[in-house]
Amino acid sequence: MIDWYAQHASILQSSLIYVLLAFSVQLALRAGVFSFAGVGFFGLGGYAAAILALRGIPGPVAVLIVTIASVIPGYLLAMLLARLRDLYLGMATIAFSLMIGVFASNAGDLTGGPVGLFSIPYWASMPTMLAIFIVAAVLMHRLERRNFGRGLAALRENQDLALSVGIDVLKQRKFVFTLGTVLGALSGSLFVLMMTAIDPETASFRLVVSTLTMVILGGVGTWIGPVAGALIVVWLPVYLGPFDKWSDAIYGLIVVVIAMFAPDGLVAVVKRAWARMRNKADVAAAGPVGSEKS
Amino acid sequence: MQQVINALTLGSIYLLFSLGLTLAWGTLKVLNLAHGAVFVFSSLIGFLATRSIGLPFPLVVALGMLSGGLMTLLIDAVVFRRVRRIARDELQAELLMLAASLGVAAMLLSFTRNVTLETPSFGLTPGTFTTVLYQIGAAKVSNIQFIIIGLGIGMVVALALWVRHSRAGRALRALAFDPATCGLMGVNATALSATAMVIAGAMAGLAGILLIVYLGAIGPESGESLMLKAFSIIVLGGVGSIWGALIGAFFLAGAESVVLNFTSGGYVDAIAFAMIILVLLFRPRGLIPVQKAERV
Repeated sequence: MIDWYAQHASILQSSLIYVLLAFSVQLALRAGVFSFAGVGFFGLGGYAAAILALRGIPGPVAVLIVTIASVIPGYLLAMLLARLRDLYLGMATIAFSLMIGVFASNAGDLTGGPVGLFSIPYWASMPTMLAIFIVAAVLMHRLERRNFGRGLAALRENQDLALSVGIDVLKQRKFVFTLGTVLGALSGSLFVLMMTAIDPETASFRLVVSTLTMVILGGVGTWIGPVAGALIVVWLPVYLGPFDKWSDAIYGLIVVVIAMFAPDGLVAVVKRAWARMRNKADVAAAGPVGSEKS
Repeated sequence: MQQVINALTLGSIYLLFSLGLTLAWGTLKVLNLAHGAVFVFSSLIGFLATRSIGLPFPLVVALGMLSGGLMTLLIDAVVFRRVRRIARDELQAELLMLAASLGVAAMLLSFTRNVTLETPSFGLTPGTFTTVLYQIGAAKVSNIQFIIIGLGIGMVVALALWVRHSRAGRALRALAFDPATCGLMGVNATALSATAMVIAGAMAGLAGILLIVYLGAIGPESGESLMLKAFSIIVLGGVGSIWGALIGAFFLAGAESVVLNFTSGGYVDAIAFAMIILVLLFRPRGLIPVQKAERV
């Protein structure tokens, strides 16, 4: 057990980090906000933490600074993109995420250009990461319950209706968007301190793909979805072995298959199967599992 | 003068690429993120075909358009059609199609990377196309530039005429406006959207073949940066607007040439992003706002 832990400590840590990133996108999607800005902020937060850490600021402090400071650009971007909806917002935030990579390759010594930054002081502490993960998971869980959670669900279903029952739609959308960017920056900063290196590839098209894989795979309905999705995506390459060079194609195939056959994600499939097992006569009542249950 | 010709050539490539994307988005509400991968895939087919058998250039172009069109048709028929049917609502359909197209893109790119492992970038076999340079005033223009600009302008005019005046084009515009009523009026939405997707894919394939001839070779990652540029072109022109795409493409290419001329060029890709942000700030519906009923 201890041997196994020692061998897999870093992959366990990266699982927790990617869960945070998946949270950032899932939270937005659950509220009907088509934002992938969390991926861009993963890169932005990663670079910011790397730059701070290279200048002698201790790892935990750097993470704290980056996470808190990311509220400002996150909120600015939220205001800028506030009037965009659906595919427009999706496209603008994907463009934003790709842009972080372009800026990183061109910012000279600050970001190390195309090579990136390396020999960043290592900092990764399993207890801290677990604690962050638990706090984030509890937060995500809370955001699904009570009036606020129902408000977010209403936002996704029908914005006009949400507005008419007294939900401040624009404010809620901005809140969800900004929280997503903060979670992205947090996971990016933790990632960099653990890997001790970052380059423009870190926040590229590939990261958009893998994040979306995690979220779609698990399902956007509940916070358990991104946890399951991130675990699968992070651990899959460990078992792929010789098929490693096809890992991108395998992720792609997974996304396509899930989108075609389990649109609510694996968690919903499992829940439905569980409900069916418990009460075979009442299959129909299990219905689609998702946000409307909260 | 030389700069203008170069910008026009680049703009025509952007135009061909963006036309397909804007057509699919404007009419079928699909943001097909696999468009860039289809573009790269078509170039790969061109590369593989000319490496194994010596095809004449027009056939290579036809092959590229065919492979792009068929690949997009395949994506539409196998993936999008099913997703549209099973999705709970429009938002979920849009998300799932976005995700699925991203998945297809990852598969195509992974395939391309693994096929071209020994060469980071690939082009047509030398001799397939003979470049001839013409001296026009102070500028040197090659025959491929003429072909690219001619095809770019020709395609945009043909597409605009088709959408505006043909029976299918009218039905396509109606489909963008109200799919349900379209069905009642006897429009075969499935066949029509398949047609639109084939056209979109063929445009990407054409752009792919033309770009590898023009640049000599491209790498698998070029689809990605082209997607970013197409985003900005579509945003500038207005989603679904064909003439808007024309203006957007040439504007972006012009701006990029200017920046390339006056700086070291690293930030060229940032122009597209700056354009997206500026347009969203000041003209969120694009330069030519398309009425909902007038999409495409």
